[in-house]
Amino acid sequence: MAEVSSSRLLSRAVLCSQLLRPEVKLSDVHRGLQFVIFRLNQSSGIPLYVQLMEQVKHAVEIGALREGDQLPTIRKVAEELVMNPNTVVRAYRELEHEGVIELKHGSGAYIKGSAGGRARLMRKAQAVVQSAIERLAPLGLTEEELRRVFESELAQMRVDGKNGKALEGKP
Amino acid sequence: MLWFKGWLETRYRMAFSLCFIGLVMVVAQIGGSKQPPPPGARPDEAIAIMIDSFVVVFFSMLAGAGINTQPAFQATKGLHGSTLFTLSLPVSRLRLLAIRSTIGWVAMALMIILLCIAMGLIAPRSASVTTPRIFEQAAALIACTTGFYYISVLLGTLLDDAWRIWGSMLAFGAFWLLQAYTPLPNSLNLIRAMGLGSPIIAHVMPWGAMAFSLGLAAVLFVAAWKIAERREF
Amino acid sequence: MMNGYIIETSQLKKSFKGQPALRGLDLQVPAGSIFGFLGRNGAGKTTTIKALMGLLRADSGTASVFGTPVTDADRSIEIRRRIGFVTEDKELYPYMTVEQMIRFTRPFFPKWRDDLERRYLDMFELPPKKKIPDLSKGMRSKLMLLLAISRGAELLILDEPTDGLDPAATEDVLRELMAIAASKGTTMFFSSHQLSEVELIADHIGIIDRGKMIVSGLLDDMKARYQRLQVVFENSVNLPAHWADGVESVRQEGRVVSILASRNIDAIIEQARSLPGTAVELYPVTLKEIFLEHVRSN
Repeated sequence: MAEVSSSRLLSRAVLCSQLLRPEVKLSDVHRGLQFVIFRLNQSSGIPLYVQLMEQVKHAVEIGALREGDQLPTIRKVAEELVMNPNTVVRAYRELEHEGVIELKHGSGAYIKGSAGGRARLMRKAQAVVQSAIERLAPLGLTEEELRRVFESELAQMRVDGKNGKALEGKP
Repeated sequence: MLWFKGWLETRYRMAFSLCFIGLVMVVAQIGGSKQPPPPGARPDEAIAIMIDSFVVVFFSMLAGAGINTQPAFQATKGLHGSTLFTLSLPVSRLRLLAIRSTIGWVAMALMIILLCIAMGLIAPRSASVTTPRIFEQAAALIACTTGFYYISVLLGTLLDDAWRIWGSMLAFGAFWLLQAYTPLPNSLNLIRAMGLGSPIIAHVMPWGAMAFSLGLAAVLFVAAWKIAERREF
Repeated sequence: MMNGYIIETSQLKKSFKGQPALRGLDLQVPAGSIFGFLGRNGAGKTTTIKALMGLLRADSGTASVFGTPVTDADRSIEIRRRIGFVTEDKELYPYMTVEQMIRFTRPFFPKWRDDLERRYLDMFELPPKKKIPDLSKGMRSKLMLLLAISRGAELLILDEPTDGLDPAATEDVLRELMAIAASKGTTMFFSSHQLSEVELIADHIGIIDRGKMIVSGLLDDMKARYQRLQVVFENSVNLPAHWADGVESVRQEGRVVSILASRNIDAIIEQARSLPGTAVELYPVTLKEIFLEHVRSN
């Protein structure tokens, strides 16, 4: 699972520069929290709970969620996104396990302070990808082609990862 | 709520059956009055003859019509498709059958009562056609037809719509043939109890036949119940 | 309840006029799960559901709901009081109105939720005075769902619940089902042809084909286990006669070979890489692919 997560993180860094239209908005008006979550894609092959986790982590990375903010209840998420509540539970538990959120018994799920550390890494990655995109610009490839190259390399990384090869630092 | 459902299912069919029977009665009366009574016959015997001549067809129709007011116990498309819904409810099949058959029986009984009242109004006044007699007649007819009615109920748990009506009529017809050619004790002869042995003509209640009919009905009901329990949808 | 299974069958067999519909079905539905029951038409989905509801009796094998055998006549009524059922045909009484159907059904269930009844009447826009035959199939489906959910059941058995519903109505229904699942922990056992819906809401799935359960379990596990390997050759080359264990199917189009594997992926990758001049890529697998693979090869 670990290599899937990191590959997704990198592709997120590429995609976050685009404007994606949110299909569903979760808002907790009482707490003045605007929480934007995109509809999950069930045919992408990536487990839904992983997608949800990525969405939460992404929200932290871009600052939509900050330390101490409360996530919507499991029921709310299940209802709004039309998702199996058990899947939401699993996502929240994994997020807790990874240290992104903490589940306070009885009161809900809150973003943990250390989540910011991940965001810093993300910003670093973003810088790397930005320079890579700049260097690829002279090739005159379309956005779609660039994305495919990227996905293909990611998939390769997945295969290599499964085969025990470590990620080498390439120029 | 099952009674409410039964009422909704039944009301139009019952109205139709009543009209139909009324029509047949009127036709029979017109037809009957054209025939001169046999010489020396008393007026009430004329009624007896009137009854006897069409009792076979008439009451077998009533028996069939009674259960026919109830939708078939099936699960085919349309009306009957809803049977799956009914059977998924927390209700025993026994209860479903009991309520369904009782409603049909009530419909049948009402038709017989109305028939008797109508007969009483049409028939010439005489010593034997008194109001209490009319109701005795109705009671006897109801009791005796109940046996045949439950044949329809039994068939209704087994077979298609058409067979339910024909089935009881065939049973009735068979019984009529039987009693016409074989002497049967009065308490078993339901046909006789509804005709010559009925209160208006014989001036007595055919208790034996009534008991036999009701006993038969009970047995048939239990058989229908057992079949309904085993049926698959 | 045995092992926490709210529905359990073992070697269930049923034939109709000599034609087998169920050939030894094994099914386990854990309590609190949302179980998608998948299969082609005629595979035995509705027969299984009818057997669970006591509408028909299996020839052999056992089936139990809430830990009670479905053949137990005395307790079967109590079982049905705890189940919300939606039939495949969505047929209700043609002489009743929407209102009357609700009034009729309500007294059978002591746990009836008036609040849910009102909510769905409103949300599904069901006209109370309209007669059943005047309702569209979609409306009838929604009414049946209202009747099934409002009774406060612990288990919902739904045969094609979104069949005939337009996308907006489907969305409404699924959302409500998820809300119920989240707040009440209601177990849901439903059959569906809409794999994309199932993928979204189910945590367990079972695929039935020709009367037998060919695969069942947690959906996430299945999707993690199954991988698609794409091998691109520089020139057309003969495929190996035998692939490593775990390969479910191999498809070749020109210089590209697509392999579906259910396990042992490392060995398969090794084998693919050992072939001359190949580029190997790994892709995750959707429920649709898992489904088609299983019913085609069966």
